[in-house]
Amino acid sequence: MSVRFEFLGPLKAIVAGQEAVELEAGTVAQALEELNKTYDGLAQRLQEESGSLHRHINIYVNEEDIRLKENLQTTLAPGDVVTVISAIAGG
Amino acid sequence: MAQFLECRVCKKATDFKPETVCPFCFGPLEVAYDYPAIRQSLSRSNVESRPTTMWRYHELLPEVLGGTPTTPVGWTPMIRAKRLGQAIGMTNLYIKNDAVNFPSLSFKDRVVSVALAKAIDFGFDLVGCASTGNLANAVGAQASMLGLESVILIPDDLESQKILSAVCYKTRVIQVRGTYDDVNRLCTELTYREKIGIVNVNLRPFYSEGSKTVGFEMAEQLGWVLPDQVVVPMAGGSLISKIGKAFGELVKVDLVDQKPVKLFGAQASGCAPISSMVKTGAEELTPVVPDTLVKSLSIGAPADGRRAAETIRTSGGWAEDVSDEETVAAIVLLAETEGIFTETAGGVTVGVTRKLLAAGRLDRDALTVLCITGNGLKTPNVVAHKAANLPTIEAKYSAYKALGQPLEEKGKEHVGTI
Repeated sequence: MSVRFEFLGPLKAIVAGQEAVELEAGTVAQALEELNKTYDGLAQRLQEESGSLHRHINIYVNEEDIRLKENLQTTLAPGDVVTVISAIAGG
Repeated sequence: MAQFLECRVCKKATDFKPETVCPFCFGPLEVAYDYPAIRQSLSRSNVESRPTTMWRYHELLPEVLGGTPTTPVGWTPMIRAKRLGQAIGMTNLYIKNDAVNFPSLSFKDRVVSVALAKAIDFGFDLVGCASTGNLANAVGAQASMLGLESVILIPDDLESQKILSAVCYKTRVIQVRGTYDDVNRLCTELTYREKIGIVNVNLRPFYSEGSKTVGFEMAEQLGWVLPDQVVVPMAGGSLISKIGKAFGELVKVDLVDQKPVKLFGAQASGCAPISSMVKTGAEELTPVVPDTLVKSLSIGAPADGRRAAETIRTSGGWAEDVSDEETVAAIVLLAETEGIFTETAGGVTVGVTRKLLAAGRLDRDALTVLCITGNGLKTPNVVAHKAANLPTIEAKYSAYKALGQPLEEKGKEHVGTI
């Protein structure tokens, strides 16, 4: 069983307009590395040059913000849903 | 007038549409204006001849296809706060009092006025928001006024008093288990799955422009002069950033003379991600899980946090945070000295002002404005202890006399001359 990555709104453009992509990975970082092999420029659009998550992007694992967990090192288990969403909301 | 959305990161232009994210780089979109044209057409006397609402500055707000709204939002009082100044040791202190904003008694009436005007332009019949309370009331009230359907999503631990008025508007209030940040994430998802105009998500570029009117009014009410120092409460970090933008725009269009203005941000210690960023000099914002009675500032992952910190640093200002106890004491101090009853965010602003003064960050004699953004009637629970043990007497003069003089009970430390 794999992990499901959902990209919402304009962020769908990163994965060629798809709503979701399924893959297998142990951490969020590994998943992004894997996705970057298929979708050119994905890492560049989601991460800073230092490798940290871009400040305009939020990633949630099962609806929990990874910045409140282990950030990109947050572990993934089969069946997890990872949502990639714009951070520019609220206030 | 030529207006468009511009990405704050890659600077690429996009036409007006209900979207907050740049389609090219996913940076934040912001309304861009043709300042040279505005400078040619706008003058102080132009503005002064218009109705006293926030829309008197309409050239510097998103253009509304349906015509400039006439709702009397904004133009709230600017109070010379002599007694509060005496109490805390400031000689040139003012309060911009959005606690009496129309229609729902907080500064959020301003941002919602812009957001809903644009929602109608974009053809939304359903609007909504993620709210810590004040925004819920602003959206509920103005959606009802405009005949729009609305849905309001709030964290389930919000003060019940704040919701009592919201439920009376023609709106659907939904409590969400979790923090404001959880509600916010859900609302972002809604905009991509439903036809809905969420004021602080897909209408956010327009919504946040409404905050500038606090800065415009401040300058005009001071006689077309910028203040030296402004203390602003911070939740999402948008208001302080937009007040900075407003001052810059007034200079660009020649309505005021350029002058350095130091901006100071105020947060509750139980939710101080922006204040921490400023105080530690960090480049990135670290989200927190809020733990404070100051619900209206409880945003642990503020969207404009980094921008707010940059605005503060660039201005030469600072940020600070106060405990819940200091917040409540400051609410009482403001009420006792100026007769202004503010909610918890206002307590944070006054409390932080005292702390910044004690630390030597604020100049005691500089022209200083405190932004009071919400009304105390929304969070009366935090001062309920003041109503305990009130004296009860027989309806006899002797019983009244036996209580002693009112000021003996309260102390005279805040009493000054008019």
